[in-house]
Amino acid sequence: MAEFTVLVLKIAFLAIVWLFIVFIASVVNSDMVGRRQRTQASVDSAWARKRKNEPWVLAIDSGAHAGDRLQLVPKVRIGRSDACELVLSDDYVSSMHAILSRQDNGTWVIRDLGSTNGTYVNGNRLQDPTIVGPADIIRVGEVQMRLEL
Amino acid sequence: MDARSFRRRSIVSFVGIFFGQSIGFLSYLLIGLFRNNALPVGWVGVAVIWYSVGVVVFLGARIAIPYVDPVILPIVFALTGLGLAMIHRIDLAFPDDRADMPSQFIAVVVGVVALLVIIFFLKDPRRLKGFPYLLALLGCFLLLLPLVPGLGREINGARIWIGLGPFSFQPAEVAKLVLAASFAAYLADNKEVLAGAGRKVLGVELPRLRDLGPVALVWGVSVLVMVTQTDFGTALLFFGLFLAMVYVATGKGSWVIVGLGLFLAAGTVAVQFTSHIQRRIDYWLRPFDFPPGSDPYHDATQIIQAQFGMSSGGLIGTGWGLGRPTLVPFASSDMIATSLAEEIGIVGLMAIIILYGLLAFRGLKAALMATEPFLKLFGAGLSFVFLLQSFIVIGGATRLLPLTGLITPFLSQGGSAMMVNWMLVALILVISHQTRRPVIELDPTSTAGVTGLEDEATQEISVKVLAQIGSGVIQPVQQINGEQIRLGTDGAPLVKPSEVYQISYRSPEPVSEAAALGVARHHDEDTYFGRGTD
Repeated sequence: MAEFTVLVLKIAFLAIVWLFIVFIASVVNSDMVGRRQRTQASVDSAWARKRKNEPWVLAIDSGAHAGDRLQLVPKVRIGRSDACELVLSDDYVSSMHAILSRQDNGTWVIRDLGSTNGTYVNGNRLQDPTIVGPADIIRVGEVQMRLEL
Repeated sequence: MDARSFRRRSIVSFVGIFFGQSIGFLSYLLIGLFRNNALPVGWVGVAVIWYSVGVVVFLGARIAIPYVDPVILPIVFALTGLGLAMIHRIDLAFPDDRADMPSQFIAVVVGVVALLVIIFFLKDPRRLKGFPYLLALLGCFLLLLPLVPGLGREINGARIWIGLGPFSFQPAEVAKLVLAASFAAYLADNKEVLAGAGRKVLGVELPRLRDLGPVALVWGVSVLVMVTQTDFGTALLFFGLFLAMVYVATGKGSWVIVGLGLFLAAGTVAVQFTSHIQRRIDYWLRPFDFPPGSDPYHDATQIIQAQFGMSSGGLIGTGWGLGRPTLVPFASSDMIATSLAEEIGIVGLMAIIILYGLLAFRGLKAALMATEPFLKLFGAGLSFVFLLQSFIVIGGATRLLPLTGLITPFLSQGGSAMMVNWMLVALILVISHQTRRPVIELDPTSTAGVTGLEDEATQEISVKVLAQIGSGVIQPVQQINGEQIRLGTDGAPLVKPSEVYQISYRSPEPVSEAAALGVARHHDEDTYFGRGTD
């Protein structure tokens, strides 16, 4: 085979190999972020609550998780168990300690779940389910938290 | 609260596999054209057989793991095709009817079958998670198996084969898979312990002395392999794999520093006791002091000829079939990288190295996206196997490192390696499918979706959801204070922890970035890999 033909075919082959790499790179590029998927939970999204001027953030002020600001979900079980929505690794927290839930009218109610150390709102030990708002300080074990608008 | 999911990229996947296979097939055609001025005899049949393998793999993946990463399989097919073409080309250079390519192709078919078995029947690799110590024992057993008298075979100075009748097999290849699973299972459970900080020396925070046990154990086995089997490459591969996985699990660079120091020390000692490794190092540093002699397999011929081969190949190579790669001993196995460099040039070799990089990158990406610690570590470990192995072996062939007798993944001739590498890829594919799959919604108004986890049909859900809950138990109905709390009784669904987790490191919203909920934080602590997003 003529030397020139060999050269052309050689270069064409290498071009195809690198074209393959360009192809892979372009697929990787288009694949970088996946597709955003609206989930059922996003329907009841934080933004909707924010518009209605409801609390949508749980701010943790003290304890191991101090400084965290967590987006609220309609029912937040608080405790040490992994099944809770808010898992606190605090020795004074029971495995299922308390539950913070949103009522239909947009207010939030906290209820103690028979914890050993009790749940406190503004320093008073909780007996019955209590409505809490952004002004109230909730304490579970050594962790203080409050709702934020 | 968005979850990210990926499309099933079937068309891209199919085109990619076809494209990747075509590189090997074009090489095959060019070999015929360049050597004999004609297309090879029976090329149509070869095309049918070769492409049908790709179609079978594509269909299997499409059915079993539809959300699979679309570029991993094309890369693997491109590398396999290049390897087969080079082995075929070397077959032709021998006057007798040497037929290594067909037997290598059979190994590819066996590997593909193994891949199909894994993607259909091991969709949840977490099954391997349960017994880290058993797997570690099995891995060490496999590593040391060639030492058994009567069973082990020493070929060309390294005792890494076992003989089973006419077949020889490298058990270390299977050990790669087993030990990667074992390390992942062990580290997923114990990384907090290993992450503990110890004393600071010279500004480097050293790990605590009492945590050194497992590292010392792996180190000991590596040294044993190095000394008894005179196989530096395998020892480096396993120890490097372990260090990489410890780093992934703990995020502590000090482990890597300590480990590399230990390994270098062991290497230095091993060099004193085994002439084989010492020789390899001499050949690496000053090959021309050992001129080709009577026995080409025991002097520096391999390295010298490989250097000359690469230089005669130059930038774009001599062309398929037009070089003299057969002057290098083991041109189709250990030295296939330089054989390819000779015929398709440094431009071609760079492409191959980039393909390895992309392969490892996609594997690491799948691992990065996995939320479950075991899958994360396992995926990362499997990717590191490819990364380390191609680095050690191509580095050795091109004289960046001392030459070691490892297999170049997917390229080199060698049945056991080919088979196991396809299995490793299958596991990476399964992990990528699991992480790219959309999170399946549970029906918020009933518990059916949750209890349905036991059903085979929805088995896949459990991977994502169970993984988040951590304890591994989903309790659809929680009995608290005599009152039943259902998931989402008020019509508003509870956020599934999996979603919470995803938000915690993917959503651009500032609030959720601070770890959306406690569960998210809990898992952030679990998964150091997840700190940076991709």
